[in-house]
Amino acid sequence: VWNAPITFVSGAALPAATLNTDIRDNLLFLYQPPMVLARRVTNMTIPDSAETAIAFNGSDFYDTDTMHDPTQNNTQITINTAGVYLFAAALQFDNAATGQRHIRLFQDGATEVAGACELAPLAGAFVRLNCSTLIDMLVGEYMEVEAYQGSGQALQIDGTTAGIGGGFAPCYFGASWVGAGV
Amino acid sequence: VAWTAPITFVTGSQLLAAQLNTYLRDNSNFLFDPPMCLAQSTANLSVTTGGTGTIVPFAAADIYDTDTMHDNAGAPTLITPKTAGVFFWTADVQFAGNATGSRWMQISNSAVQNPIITHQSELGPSGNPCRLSASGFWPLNAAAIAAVTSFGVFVFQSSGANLTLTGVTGGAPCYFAARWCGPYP
Repeated sequence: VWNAPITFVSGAALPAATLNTDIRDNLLFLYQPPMVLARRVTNMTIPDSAETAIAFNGSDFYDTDTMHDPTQNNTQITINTAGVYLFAAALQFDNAATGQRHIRLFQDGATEVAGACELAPLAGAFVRLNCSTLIDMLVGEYMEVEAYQGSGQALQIDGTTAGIGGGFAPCYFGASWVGAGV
Repeated sequence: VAWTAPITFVTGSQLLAAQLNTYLRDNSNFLFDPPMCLAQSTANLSVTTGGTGTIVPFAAADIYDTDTMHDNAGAPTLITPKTAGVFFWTADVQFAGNATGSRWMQISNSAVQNPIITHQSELGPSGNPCRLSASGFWPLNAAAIAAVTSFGVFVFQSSGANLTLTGVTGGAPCYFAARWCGPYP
């Protein structure tokens, strides 16, 4: 965690504990801030015309602040250190010609904070989407990636491992602390 | 300036100038100006129709490059991280207006287009310029750095003829950037 550093004054002793807390620990916090990268390796079925939170159930690439659990509440990145976070997500829909597709970053199950859409999908062409944003988050708040498709039928998104098209599409959801935002 | 894991200070030990320089000055400088680069293409690029993706050269002078990650003359299509860690990647391109076919872009490993870090498509382009942007995180460990792992921006279009990807002097964004966010966990 970050510790607000003291103001040094002339003549004051410089204890080892102060050096460890205010310099060593703070440098380490800035060097390795809270960050996580979750993924989904298997395909996931998205029902027609319903915002659907993506379950990132593959093992995390990294998670330095216990923000994501691949097995429980795996749709969520939950904040344990307050601050401004950079979020980014990407996924790929299977091809179908009807309806729109979109993804969005959805905060606390209530607020859309970023998104991207494809309004005119084609048969035979995968829809590739990503979105990102910077946003101030408090401890306990969470972010999800929601996907929507209006093809008139259930439609899959690709996992990262040899997905629908036999390729390796991204299905990632990441966050990185970038500052206190105070 | 590289990062050096700071020592734990102990009561009664002498605080040496070399320690202050290594653990405080150099580490502060590393965090103040971590590895990052922003490459750009000022020239238009003619992208052939179909295929599996054209890698975009960013041959103009870099806006910044703090860790020799991009060589705009020798290897303009590649960003090659030199410091292990988690990187944030982002790119922006624009196709000239054309209403036929589809477009996509992706940031991926330059050699095999796998992994794909992020991507964006436009499957119903109009006659207006088609703007595409994509961002994402990707970690690289020491072995990947030693193996000289590079990433590039691939673009695709199926208009049926060559189509221009507009350079920044044409008024469009054509950028490719990476920024170190933290060590490889």
